[in-house]
Amino acid sequence: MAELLDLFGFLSVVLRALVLALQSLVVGGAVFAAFILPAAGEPGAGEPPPRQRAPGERAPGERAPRERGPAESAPEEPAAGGSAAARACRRLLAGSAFALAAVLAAYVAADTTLLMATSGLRLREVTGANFFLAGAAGALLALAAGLLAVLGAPRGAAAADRAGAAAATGAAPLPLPDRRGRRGALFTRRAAVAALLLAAGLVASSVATSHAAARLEGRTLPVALTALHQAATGCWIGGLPYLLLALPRTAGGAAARRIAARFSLLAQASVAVLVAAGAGLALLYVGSPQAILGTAYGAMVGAKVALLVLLLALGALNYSLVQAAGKEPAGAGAGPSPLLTRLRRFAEAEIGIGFTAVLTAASLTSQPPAADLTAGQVPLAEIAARMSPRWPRLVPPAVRDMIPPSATAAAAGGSALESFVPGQLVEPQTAGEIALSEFNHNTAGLVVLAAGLLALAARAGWRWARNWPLAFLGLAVFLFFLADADYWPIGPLGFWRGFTVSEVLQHRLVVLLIVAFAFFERRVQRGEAPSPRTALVFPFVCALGGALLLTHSHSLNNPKDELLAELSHVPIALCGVAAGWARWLELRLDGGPRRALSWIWPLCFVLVGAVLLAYRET
Amino acid sequence: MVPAPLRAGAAALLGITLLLVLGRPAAAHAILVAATPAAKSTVQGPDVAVRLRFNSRIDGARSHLSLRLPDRSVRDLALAPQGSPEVLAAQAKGLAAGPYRLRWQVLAADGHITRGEIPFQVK
Repeated sequence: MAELLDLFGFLSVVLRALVLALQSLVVGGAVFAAFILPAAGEPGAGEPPPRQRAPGERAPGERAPRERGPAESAPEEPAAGGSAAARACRRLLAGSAFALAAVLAAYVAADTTLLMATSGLRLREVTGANFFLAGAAGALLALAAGLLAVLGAPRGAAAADRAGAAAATGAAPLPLPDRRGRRGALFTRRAAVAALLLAAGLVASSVATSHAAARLEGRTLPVALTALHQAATGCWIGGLPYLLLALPRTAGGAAARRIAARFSLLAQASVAVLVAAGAGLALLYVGSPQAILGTAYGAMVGAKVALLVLLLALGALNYSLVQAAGKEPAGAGAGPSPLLTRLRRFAEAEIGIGFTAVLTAASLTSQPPAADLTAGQVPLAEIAARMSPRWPRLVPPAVRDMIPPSATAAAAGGSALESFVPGQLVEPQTAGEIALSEFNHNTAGLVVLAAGLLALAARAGWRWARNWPLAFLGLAVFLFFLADADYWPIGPLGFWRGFTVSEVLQHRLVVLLIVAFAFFERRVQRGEAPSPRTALVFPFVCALGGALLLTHSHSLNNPKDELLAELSHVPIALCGVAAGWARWLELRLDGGPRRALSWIWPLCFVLVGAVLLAYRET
Repeated sequence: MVPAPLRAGAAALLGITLLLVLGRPAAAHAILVAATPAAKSTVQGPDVAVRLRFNSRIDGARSHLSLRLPDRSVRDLALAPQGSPEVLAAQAKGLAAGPYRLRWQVLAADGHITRGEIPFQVK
């Protein structure tokens, strides 16, 4: 039973993260369809009509067709050109709305099962709970939004879709029957209003299960701020993927520039609202400057601010690109401008970092606000003492200390008031376990530091250092021997028996993945990658790892030790995110800041290694 | 060149493994702020008033209090109507002298469930 509950507890943070991410996509899609996409169909002043490109003709600045996805290379015939963008956006909007409905339903089902299993309530009694009503309402709204995206297209658009599809498959393009649907529109005017209302309803149902709704007094202000914060996140971060879809599918560079310029305005307004509402919420929930470092909640808010700074830097670059693209000569209106191509590359990293911030928000929802944790805050002096460097532990503890004691829940009778998540076992760490954990972190730090320094050396021109990914083999060897010290070859338990234990199995899978990754990335670094796309695996995994490290959340019962662990894991996660997207941009950009980026990610590796080397739990 | 389905499968495997390794169990956020009887305190029997205050609104109809008696049997406590949204109250009657554990489980507005135990002594 305890294991089942544990699994539910873990699932709920994953589901919450998915809900927030998908909700942003639905809100962003509705706003994009209503306000941004129609800009493509509006006639600009003094523009030449969009010119039809011959098949195979490539616009300046466009990558070779082999590198682009099959959908991206669809022909952009003038009449249905706007509709190709609308079609792609509609698919994303409908997909994320249906996925949101499914995830919300799963969330409500998991939570209901957990509640029934732990409290003996019957289903009928659970259905009146706040989370049940809000979740069910959200699922229905998301379902409606999905159906609207499928059915709410302007009349001409369906025919345009067919014509576009026919053209894409090489059949003769059909003449468009009518233009009653505005060119480039995803929705009719009425459907757009309905989509915006559904998006607002989704935000409302999400706010109903937020910290704001659970506040004791003065709920109006936090509820309003949370709603604004989530809506602005949707408009900006949730809208970016639609921009990425729409830009290359918009016939004529002028229309693409109009879309980019209008989205730029929306993004600026959203950032202002998001930052203002976020700052207000931070004041209410974190409460004091000391709590930023002194509580896990405060530390996570700090992580979100750091991600925001990264995003604003990218946003500023994008702003200057949009401004520059607007000043391009009118004659360049025929094909996609190289500036807009670069804008799309930056938008990819912006989407990645933006959704990382959304995942971080999901783990914030599972922690008590710092302002409520008056007794559990850790004084700065104690943090400074823990963070002061010490010689790393590079020798493993004795074998008998590494083997964990049988998982008997120790007597929980602490003197303070304690709160637990169902299924959470209370086991104080033994000195041996602490020593092992420190040894694990410190040794991993040595490997990452070596990889980072070698990557820097390779950047500086030492060709042999390009083999740096092989440093990770050391990590694999180490994990294989020591991650499960109670199994062969160190412990008494047999090698094959470990395959029946999920944790051991996980560790062995990771070992295999690390080995595969080390050899794979070595090929990439030596310029032997089978295709440019495969080189993107490493930055993506790096950024994903950082994002997941920010998504996890800790238990409630020992705020002090949890926080001290959190304070070293947050910088590691942020460096992972920065390294991943710096490398991604280095690979994706044609020029611009590529040189600077190629130095940033090895430096991030060195930083991660240093933090891991200094990690300590006593 | 690795076939596309294999690559997609490898990517999915990688993602799931990372999720399992890096993700940890979730924590909920309704935490106990004050309790009567206090943890590890000794109170006068035989009737003991129980009052638990939390940091956020509690769904009283879907929360639960029980008492583990000195003979290790468990007795459910009937909750009094909620006077304020963050407080659970009950009356434990006829308690003989000995060690007790008050077990609580609450549902917060966001659907998170938390629980805990308060050991106390009746004299």
